[in-house]
Amino acid sequence: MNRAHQLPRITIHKLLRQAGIYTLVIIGALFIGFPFFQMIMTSFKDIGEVYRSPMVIFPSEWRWQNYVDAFTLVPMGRFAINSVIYTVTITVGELLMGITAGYAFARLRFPFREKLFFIILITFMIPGQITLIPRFIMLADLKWMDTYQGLIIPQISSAFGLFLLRQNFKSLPQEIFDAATIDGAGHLRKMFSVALPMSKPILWTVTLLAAISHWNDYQWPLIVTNTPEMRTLPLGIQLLRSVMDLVHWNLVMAGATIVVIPILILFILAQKQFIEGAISGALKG
Amino acid sequence: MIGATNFVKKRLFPWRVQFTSLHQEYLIFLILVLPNLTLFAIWTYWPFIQSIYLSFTNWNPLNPVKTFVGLDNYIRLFTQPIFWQVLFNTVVFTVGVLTIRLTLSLGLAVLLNQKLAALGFWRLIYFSPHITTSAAMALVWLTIYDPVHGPLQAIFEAFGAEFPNVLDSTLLALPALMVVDIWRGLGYSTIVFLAAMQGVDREIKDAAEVDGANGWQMFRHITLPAISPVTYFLIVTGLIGLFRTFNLVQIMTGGRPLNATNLYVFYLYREAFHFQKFGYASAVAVVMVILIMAFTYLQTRAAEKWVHY
Repeated sequence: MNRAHQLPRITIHKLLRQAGIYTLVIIGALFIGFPFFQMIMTSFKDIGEVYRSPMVIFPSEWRWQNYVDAFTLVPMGRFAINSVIYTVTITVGELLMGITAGYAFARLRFPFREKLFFIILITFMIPGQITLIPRFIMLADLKWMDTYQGLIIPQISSAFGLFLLRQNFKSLPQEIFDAATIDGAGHLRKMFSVALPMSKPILWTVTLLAAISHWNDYQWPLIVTNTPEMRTLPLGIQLLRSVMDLVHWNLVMAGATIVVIPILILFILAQKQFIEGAISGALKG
Repeated sequence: MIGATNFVKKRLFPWRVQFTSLHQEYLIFLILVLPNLTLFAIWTYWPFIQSIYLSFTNWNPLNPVKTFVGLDNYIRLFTQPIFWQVLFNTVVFTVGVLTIRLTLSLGLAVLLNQKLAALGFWRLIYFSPHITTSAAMALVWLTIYDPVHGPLQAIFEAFGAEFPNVLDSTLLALPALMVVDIWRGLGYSTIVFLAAMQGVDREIKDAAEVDGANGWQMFRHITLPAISPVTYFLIVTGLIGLFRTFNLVQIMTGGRPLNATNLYVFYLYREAFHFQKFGYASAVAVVMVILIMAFTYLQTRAAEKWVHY
C-alpha cells in the first residue's frame, strides 16, 4: 500500500528531472548552434536587411545571388583551388610519412629506436610559433615565399599522424607478421599488404583530422603568401570584408559558409571517425 | 688470388660480408624513417635552434647585418610594460577560458550521460564548432557582437537595455573573445569527458549505490577520480592550445582597444612581421617555449597528487 502511494510521486519527479535535463541540453545546443544559423541567414540577406536595426532573423528573400557576388568580388575560385591543393598535398604527404616511419618505428629493429622516436615526439611540445621566424627567413632565402612548395613542404612532417599510426601498427598481432614472413614476404610487402589493410579505421582518422586541420590553417598561409592569387580560403574570405567601403556582411557570410560547409558535410558523413579520433588521443595518451 | 681479394674486401667493407637479415632490416628502417626525419631536421629542429640564436641578435630583414647583442632582447622584453600586459592578458584568457569551458563541459557530460534520446544528434551539434574554420567563425562572431545590427543588440533592445560595443571596450573585449573560444572548445571537452564517464566501471558504481551513496557523492568520489587522467590531459593540451590563440585576435580586434586583447602569439606575430624586429620577436618566442615547458612540468608534478591512473 505504501508502495502504491509512492509510485506516482517518483514518476513525476523523474519526469521533471528529464525535462530539466533536456532543457539544459537544448539551451546549450542553441548557444552552440546559433553562430551557424546566424552565418547562413545573413549570407542570404539583402544588404539593406543586414544593416537594419533591430535585426531581422530571416531574410525576406533568399538571395542566392550573394554567393555569386562573393565569387566575382574576390578570386574565390582561385582561393578554393589553392585550399584544395594545400590540404590534399599536405594530407597525402603526412600520411605517407606517417605510414612509412610509423611502420618502421613499430615493427623494425634499429639501434636507439625508442630514443629516436622520443626525439620526434618532442616536436609535440614545441609550439609551431617558435619556428615561424626562421622558417620565414629560410623560405625567403630559397625564394619560396608565395609559392606552393613554400606553403606545403615545411608542413608535411607531423608528429601527430606518425604517433597514431605507430601506436596502431604496434598493436597488431605478431602472429600475422610471422605468417607473412614464412610466406616469404619482405618488410615492405608486410607493410603494404598486412599492416595497412588492418589499419583502415586509424588511416581514416588520421586522414580526416589532418585534412580538417589544414583546411582551417590560417597563420601559416598568412605569413607565407602575400598575393591574392596564392591565398587559401580562410585568408581569402577576409578580403571580402575589406574590399568595399561599406562592409557587405552578407557577402562575407556567404564566403564563410563556403569555407565551413564542406567541413560540416564531411563531419556529418564521418562523425564516428572524427569523434573517435579526437577521443582516442585523450583516453589513450 | 680470389682469397686475397676477399681478404681485402673483408678489411675494406666489413659490413658487406656480414650483411645479414638484421642489417637489411636496419637499412629498410633508415629508408623508411629518413625522409621524415630529414623534414623534421630542416623545418623543425633547425629553425628551433635558429630561433634561440636569433634571440641574441638584433637582426631585422631590412638591415641584414646580424649583430650579437647578448641578453639585450630579453632585458628589453622584461622591462617593457606592454610585454607584461600581454602576458597578463594571455594568462587571464587562457585560465579563464579553460576553467569555464571545463566546468561547463563536465556538467554537460553528466547531462548527456543520462541515457538521453538522440545522443548522436547532440554530440554532432556540440562537437561541430571544434572542427569548423576558426578564421571564418571569427567573422560570424563579429556580426553577433555588432552593437547596432547584431542579434545580441536585438535581444537587449527587447528588454529595453542597450547592448554595449563590447569589442570596443577595454573591459569587455577580452571576455568577448573568451566567449568565442569557450564556444569553440566546449563540445570537444564535453565529448571527451562523456567518453571517459562511459568507461567508468559500472560495478564500482553499483557497489557504491548499494552502500547508499547519493548522486553527488558518486560523482565526487567515483566519477571524478576515475576520469582524472582525462581531466589532466584536457588541462595540459587546453592550456598549450589557448596560449597559442592567434586567429581570433588577428581577425576580430587586432589587439585593440589599447592592447586589451593583445595576446602572446599576436604580439609575437606583430613584432616579427609588422615591425620586422626578428631578433626581439625570437626572444619572445623563446620565452613562450620556456613558459609552456615550465607550465607542463609543474602540471605534471601537481598531477601526481590528484590524477589517479
